[in-house]
Amino acid sequence: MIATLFPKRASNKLHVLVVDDTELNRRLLETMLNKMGHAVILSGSGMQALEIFAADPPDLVLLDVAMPVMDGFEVARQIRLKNVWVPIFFISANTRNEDVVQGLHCGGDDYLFKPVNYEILQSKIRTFQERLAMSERLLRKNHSLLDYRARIEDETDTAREFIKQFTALDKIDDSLVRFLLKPAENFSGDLIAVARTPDQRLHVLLADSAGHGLTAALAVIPITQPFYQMTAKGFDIPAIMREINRRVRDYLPLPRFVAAVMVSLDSAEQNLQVWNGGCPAALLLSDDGNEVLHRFVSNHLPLGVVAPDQFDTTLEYYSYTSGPARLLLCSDGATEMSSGTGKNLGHAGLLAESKQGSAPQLFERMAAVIEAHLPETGPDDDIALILLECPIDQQSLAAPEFIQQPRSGNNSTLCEYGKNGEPIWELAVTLTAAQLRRMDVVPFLINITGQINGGNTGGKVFLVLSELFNNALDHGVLKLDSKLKNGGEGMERYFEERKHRLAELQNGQISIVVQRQGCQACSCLKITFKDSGPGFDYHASRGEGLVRNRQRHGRGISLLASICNELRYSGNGSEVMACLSISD
Amino acid sequence: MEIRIANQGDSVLLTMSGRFDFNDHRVLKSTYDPILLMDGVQRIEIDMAEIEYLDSSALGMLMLLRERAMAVGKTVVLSRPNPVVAQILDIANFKKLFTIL
Repeated sequence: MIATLFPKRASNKLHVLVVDDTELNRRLLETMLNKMGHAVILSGSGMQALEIFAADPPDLVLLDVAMPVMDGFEVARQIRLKNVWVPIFFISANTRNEDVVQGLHCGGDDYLFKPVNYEILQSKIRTFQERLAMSERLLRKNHSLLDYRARIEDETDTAREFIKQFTALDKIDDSLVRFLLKPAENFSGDLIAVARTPDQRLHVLLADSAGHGLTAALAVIPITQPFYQMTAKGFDIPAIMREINRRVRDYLPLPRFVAAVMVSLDSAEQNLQVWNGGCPAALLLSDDGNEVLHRFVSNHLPLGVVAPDQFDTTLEYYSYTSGPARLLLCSDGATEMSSGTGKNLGHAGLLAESKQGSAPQLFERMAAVIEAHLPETGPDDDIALILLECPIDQQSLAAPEFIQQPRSGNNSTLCEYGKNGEPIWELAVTLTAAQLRRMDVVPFLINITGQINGGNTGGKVFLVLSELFNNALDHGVLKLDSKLKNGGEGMERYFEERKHRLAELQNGQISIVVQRQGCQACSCLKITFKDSGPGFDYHASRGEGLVRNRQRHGRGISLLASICNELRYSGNGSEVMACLSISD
Repeated sequence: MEIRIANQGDSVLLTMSGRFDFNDHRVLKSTYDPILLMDGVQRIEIDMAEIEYLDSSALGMLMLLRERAMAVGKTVVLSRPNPVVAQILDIANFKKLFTIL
């Protein structure tokens, strides 16, 4: 388009079309123009001028007005109908104002009187050339801006698609989780992630990255990856948050700073664990939303602020024993909406305005309150809200689906081949106090078992390894009594005591052996744990008491017995062998 | 947002007013950059009494200022936040980073 408007000129030399029915006038103009250094094409009539113009458009037209057949005004009108724009100067003996005005109306750019003065013509042409050059520069700039804008829009689309893949909001599909995410701009700096551990604990993360737009949205990359990968491997909140904090520090530009709240819900034990750094309090509500049972306030700095070695992973624990509950998580964008009233909606406003109605519709009511308070121009800040169901029903107590499947040959003894033959592979590891204090043992075992065996070993193996390990560590090495968990603050007391004893641990060890048995038919995995603890009376524990108290004392031995082909304690109870089939 | 600067010997008082958000990055930085170069200044106090609101970007800017100041051996102190601002600082646990007067 630029090329047609402004043909590239090597110099200031113009091709000028001179149109006049009088030979003398044409020669006069030709002499002047040649002297100025321009090339001249002469035409004696309007019709001929249009033909020349059509064949090879000049850079400038000097046009007489009074001509027979077709006058200069008509020639100008015809030229203006063409796609090419070329400046037209009228050259006329008619000096009346009306003539000048009509000439300009017909598309003329200037109007000179005969006889033409050399200096005036030269300076008019020069001025016009300068104006042309200027508009050419502007047009080129405008063009490059348009190009730039198109490219940015392309890249924005790509970035949005890329970030969409990372956030994978469309893949969040958990019956316990309802959420709302409203970005203030193209990109959301608020992030929601939901995943289950292999043993079906529910992990939920809400993160609010400082700022808005793409810069803020980039934070999803160092956050979602460790969240999903580590949750899938069964890591707990402290390990995951420590890793995310490290990555936010390593990868995000200053000021890197991500407020986040992470929840681990174990509905089988009705236990909630929360880490909150910089987000509004997570509220535990009664099922109908009318009552606040507990506030998990922010007691940490946002992610990315403190160095890895100073990162505080202290969690807050809560057992919702009295009935089903809901946990409300939101970013400050949700509570600080003011809907033009200048007063923040706040937690209190959100709860008060969504109170009336049935329990199942609580989320819909909250979403409606948020919508109602949105400014007409859309949210000023990214808004994220999650409502998490914390159920208590018996169905979810049994959580993992595979436990409910009827087992063939349950509690049968080991297959003959597995009992006597050589294992296909064996992993044996003994960990002492130094490693127990520092390591996340279960994900490590799962990872290495998976690698040796080839592929994912599944939730069943995770469950058995984590139960056996936690029993060996908690009750064996750390000598914790399950009774600590009783009572209102029991869970919290238990975990605090566990953390304390683990940090102080000087002696003790756990030996673990995992063997893949050689029987092709049943693909048995034999897992043995032996700890340095005092053991326990396993004969009593298999009785009714433990089954009845399951919800307070962990899934326990009865659960293990239900998914293992065989579960056998020996010695003083500090040694246990589990055999489970991994073929299904 | 507006910033006023008062030099008080080894301390510089920055009085900020209005809404402190992501739009203020440049003005804040151009205000504190020369202060960080002053040898005699030990302490930068940010008087927050007239700040009506701060967003997460503003918190990030304060953190950045703190890091830059620490690198040249100066401390940053926050003072007199109004209740709204105090709550925002509290949620972000800024008491672990700053002295808040």
